[in-house]
Amino acid sequence: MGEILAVSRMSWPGPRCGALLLAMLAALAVSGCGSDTSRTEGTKIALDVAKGLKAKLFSSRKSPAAKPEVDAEALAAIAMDSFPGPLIMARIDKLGTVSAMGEFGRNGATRTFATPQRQTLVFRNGLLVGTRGLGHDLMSADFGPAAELVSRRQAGTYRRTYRFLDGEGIERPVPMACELTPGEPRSFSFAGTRYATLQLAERCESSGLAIVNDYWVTQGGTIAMSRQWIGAALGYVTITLVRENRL
Amino acid sequence: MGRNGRTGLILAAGVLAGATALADPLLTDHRGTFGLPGLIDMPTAESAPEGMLGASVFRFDGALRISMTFQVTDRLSGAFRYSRVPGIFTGGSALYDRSFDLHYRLLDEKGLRPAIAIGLRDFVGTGIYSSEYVVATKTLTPRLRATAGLGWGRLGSFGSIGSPFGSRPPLDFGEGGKANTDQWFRGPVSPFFGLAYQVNDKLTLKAEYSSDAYALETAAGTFSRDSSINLGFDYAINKSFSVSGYYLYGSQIGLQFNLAVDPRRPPVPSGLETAPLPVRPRPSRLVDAAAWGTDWTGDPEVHPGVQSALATALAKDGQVLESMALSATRVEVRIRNQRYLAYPQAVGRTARTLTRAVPPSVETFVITSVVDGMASSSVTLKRSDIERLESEGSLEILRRAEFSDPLRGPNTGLVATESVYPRFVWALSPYGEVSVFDPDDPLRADVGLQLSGKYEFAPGLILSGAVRKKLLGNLDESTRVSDSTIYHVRSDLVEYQKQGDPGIEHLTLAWYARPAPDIYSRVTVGYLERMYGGISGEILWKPVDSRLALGAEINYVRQRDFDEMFAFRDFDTVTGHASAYYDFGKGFAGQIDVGRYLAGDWGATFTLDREFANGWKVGAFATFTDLSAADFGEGSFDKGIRVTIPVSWTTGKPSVNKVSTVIKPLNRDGGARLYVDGRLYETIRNTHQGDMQIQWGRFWR
Repeated sequence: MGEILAVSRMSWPGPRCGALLLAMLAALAVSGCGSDTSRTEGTKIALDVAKGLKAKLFSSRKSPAAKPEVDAEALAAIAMDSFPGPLIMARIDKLGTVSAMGEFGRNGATRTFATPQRQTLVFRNGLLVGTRGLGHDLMSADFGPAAELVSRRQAGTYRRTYRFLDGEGIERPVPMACELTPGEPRSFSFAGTRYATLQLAERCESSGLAIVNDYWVTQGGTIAMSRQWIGAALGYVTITLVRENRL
Repeated sequence: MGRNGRTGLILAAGVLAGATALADPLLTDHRGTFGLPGLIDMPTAESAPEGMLGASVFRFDGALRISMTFQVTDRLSGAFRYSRVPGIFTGGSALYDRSFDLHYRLLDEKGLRPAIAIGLRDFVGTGIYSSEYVVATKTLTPRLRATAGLGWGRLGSFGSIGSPFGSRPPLDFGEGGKANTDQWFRGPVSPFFGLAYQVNDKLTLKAEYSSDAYALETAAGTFSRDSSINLGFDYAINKSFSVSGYYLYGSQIGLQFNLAVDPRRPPVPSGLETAPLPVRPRPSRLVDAAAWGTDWTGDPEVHPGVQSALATALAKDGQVLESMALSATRVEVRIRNQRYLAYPQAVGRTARTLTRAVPPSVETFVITSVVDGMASSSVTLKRSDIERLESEGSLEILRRAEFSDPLRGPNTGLVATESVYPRFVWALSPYGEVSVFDPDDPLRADVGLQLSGKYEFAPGLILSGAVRKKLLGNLDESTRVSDSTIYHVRSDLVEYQKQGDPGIEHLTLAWYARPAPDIYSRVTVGYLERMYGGISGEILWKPVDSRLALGAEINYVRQRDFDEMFAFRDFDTVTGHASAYYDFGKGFAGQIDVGRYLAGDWGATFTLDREFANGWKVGAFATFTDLSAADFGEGSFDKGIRVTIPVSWTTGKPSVNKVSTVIKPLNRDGGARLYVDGRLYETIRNTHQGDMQIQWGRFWR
């Protein structure tokens, strides 16, 4: 397992006895402490809910101050300094997150990249086949000849399947009919590398659902950048290659 | 209506269903004042979405109705209600009453045909809302639905058009609690009708012509029925909450709050957790044959080294490695899962961790779940399948997984992990206790602190205790004295609430074991629960792949003193049951317990649960014993509903914990069972094949 770079971390305070004493003084115990989570968890949740409500009630009504635009180049540079392995940059618009992700595992053609908080994206030949730790995760995906066509920058039609867990936790496949079409050439630089790419659009349809995955592929078949669908709830993730191979 | 009437209805249904086309179930989020799908006081032929749970509180001068509803199947809805009707009880006081309703959608809407439903209101209670109906609802435009029906009983009390099935015998409710079968569909019948118009996504308007005369309320003078027309609106605040307002019978304003909970729609997404460790594949045998050697088996350092590293890695994932057996080609790990409600997730993560920990020659992974020291199921997987199928659908690996009883495995070479036993956990946490349905004060509560601890000497040998100290509350202010004419095995609860502060909630020593394959056993001694102490023994037969389980439990207990300390009262008894548990599939599970109850009465308890794969359960139970209805007292027999909600559903974060509630309209002495912690079936069942298969989608999570 590669070492994971630490860029940021949100702390999630656990229940503390101090808090409990305080609450007792107020003659209203709302917290719990101890090593037996089956007994303390309920109060921890109640506390979290109360905190959430308080945050909602007392935070200013203004929309959250626009986050300073993340400087992807700067983030990539920090990541490259602190992590020796393959790296990508991932942006999920719906979650409002941008994160450098280091290679965390490799199993044949399947590669797993992780954030510092160990949320992962899983790719097979550059195509997204899974996410973990995000909630609403993509559990797995089959994509027929798509990866081969993408790397050859060729058009094609085929079927592919995404799999998700429903609200009960039962796996549900979503089969889709797809068409891959080459588009415009585009050149760009990122993290010190210049890429000359051709854009390919993969349009997929299921009953009542239409998605478009975009890939920017070099002559050699490397996907330098892509925008791929995770699922209905999380929308799309934009992935840019930072460093393909281990230093 | 008796047999003829019902047959006629079914015949009519058959004729109408003859012209086949795909029919849509008529669903709605709107509820009437009785909690079930409806207009205002009148029902409709609609259903709520399958599995939907609801709660509503309706208030107007004529009544307060608090209803809990559940859409049991696509077609069957049920409701439990607690109501207060002012002025109609003896001496002009308010009547507090509990009632049950059933509603069944017989036919779906299709073409010109409306949806048709049949229903019973208050069919086992003391009967103040007793009524029966047949109702049709038709979608006229996508926004407008019309309803018309015929009602008997209360729903036939205004504007009657005759009594087609004979007169309605007077209600002989005795102690209440019996199905009023001889009244159903008898007596005067009246038509009712109404409209519901959906203005937009949030707002729906309703109007109805009511066939309820409100005779009792009008006679009591609490209410005036000046018109048969009711008007109302529903406003959806969000997906879960809505509020309804009504103008009722030309004289009253009514208000209602509704809550809808769909167990299939958690408020947060599941899977807010640390991602699993990815599989680490072995080097190719052709490239690196040496790595696949088995000479490591001769090195005494390898087994403890692997075990220690594995225990550390698993601990980070909430899994306790209790023991391990490692040979050249096979590894068995015994795991206590402390994090994931779905055992497949615990097994799947353990399998992936194993690929990073054991030498390449080990091809067979046996992952055994241990619960309360009992090894209860083994999942055997091929390492090459784990490597190959890591990013495939979960069915692929399920087809290759073998479930077995660990006691049938080789069981050799298991080495206990150091420092797992003895194990001590403790907690200081708040507790709450609520009493509802007391007519003097329908809601009383205590809150306080509970200090609990658990010491495990060895696998399966557990000392457990809890003490409570009340901080504030008014449960001790109740002046209700049990009117039970038999020995008060349960009905002196108020005395415990008054005197048991502080109190020892329980203090027990339990021993769990596996005496033979498919067999589980438990012996618990000590202060088993708040009211009883003694000894409890249980044995369970449950093969890993069986839908059926059989169990037997016998207890000798003595009633504890009201102060909830160490002393006992002068009452002891032998109580016990033979139990059968069956998983019917499609989310239904049943249980029958036959035996002797605390008061010495003999009988059986029937339980049916609707279970969801994510851990939600909604069930109902009823106990019938040889105790007469008169001896039992109000309610005639013991019954209630129970709900279990997994903590992970509310937070999205992994947790094995659940919150369970039993709602009983009455707490009396007949059909009363002993409460013992850790009954075997519930302890082990989610490690077995049936439960694991339903939750298998989480294997690769």
